Amino acid sequence: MRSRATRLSPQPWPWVGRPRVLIEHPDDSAGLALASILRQAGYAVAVCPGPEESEHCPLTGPEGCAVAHGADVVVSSLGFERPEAREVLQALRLRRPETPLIVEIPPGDTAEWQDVLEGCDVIVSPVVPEELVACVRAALAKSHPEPAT
Amino acid sequence: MRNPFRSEVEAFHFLLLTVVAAAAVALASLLGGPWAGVPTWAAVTGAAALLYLRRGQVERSVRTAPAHVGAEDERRILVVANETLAEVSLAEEIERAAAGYRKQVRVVCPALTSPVRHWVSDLDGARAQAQQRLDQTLSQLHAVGIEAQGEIGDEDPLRAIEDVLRTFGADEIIISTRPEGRSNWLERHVVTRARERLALPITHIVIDTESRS
Repeated sequence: MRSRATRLSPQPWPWVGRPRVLIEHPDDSAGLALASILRQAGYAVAVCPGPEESEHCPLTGPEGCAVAHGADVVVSSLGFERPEAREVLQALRLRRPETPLIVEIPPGDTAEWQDVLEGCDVIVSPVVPEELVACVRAALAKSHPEPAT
Repeated sequence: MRNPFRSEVEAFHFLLLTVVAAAAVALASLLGGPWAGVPTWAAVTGAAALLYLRRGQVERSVRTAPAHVGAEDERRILVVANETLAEVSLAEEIERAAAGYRKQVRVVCPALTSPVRHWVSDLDGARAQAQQRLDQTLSQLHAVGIEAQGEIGDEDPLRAIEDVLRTFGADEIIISTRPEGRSNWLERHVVTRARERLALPITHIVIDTESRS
């Protein structure tokens, strides 16, 4: 088994003061397009291509991933057909159970992946900008509820 | 005095390696006599230099971007450049990037220095030259109707960019360099590394002053 070590700066999230969203998308331009939508909505974003074919994300290894650990919300568009992508989802659930995880799913029946998607919010592809922003906002509100006055 | 370490972790690693290296030299001297420590010291120093030079070559695959700051009709442009900064082409590119928006422009001039001057913390000359370039650029941009603010940045252009992004929240970055073969920044893959690191639109403009003259 090979692992890919990803060197991270000591402060991978320098943009303090705004909610931080990690986008995991295997397609470079699509990931950046989602990032642009969320930036305009006022979120600091990071985009990660996720595990490459037959490689493993540092998140699933002993080194962990500082960006994922520092995120307030994770949007995963890695799919869940590939075992590497499922490993990432499971690692996120296991290591950061309190961090909302939004998974982009294809339209249609996803019943067979219910165990993988348990505890996740879902957004159906193709992703509509307003829907993505609303989904992230709702996930953040759920994880950081306003204190009762 | 400039701190060459990026974090406490790096400083700790440096201390640890220094102790290990000193122990290796001492051990070699004890076992093989005083002269046996010399090649050990040379090998350790060479390995440390190699590690330092390779340090900046490994980039993370995760890209980050600050949140949009300011009004919706505002576009924040960060200009990063070296001595090619004082050019009309730059003003044209800023206008293109901010077309249809109110623009906020921040110019950062990295204090360009040599590794030797960096290590002896002799940055005063580099900063003075960068300040001169910055003043010239701001006045030239002002002359064509672009109001910009500026600052001197770290001698590492990537670090200079990230430093500015912490407070400025740019929507687009313009990096100006000389052409391939005459640009130290291109040799160091500054533009490529910026694109790998930042989830922001980055425009690279090449200004060839010699071919125009």
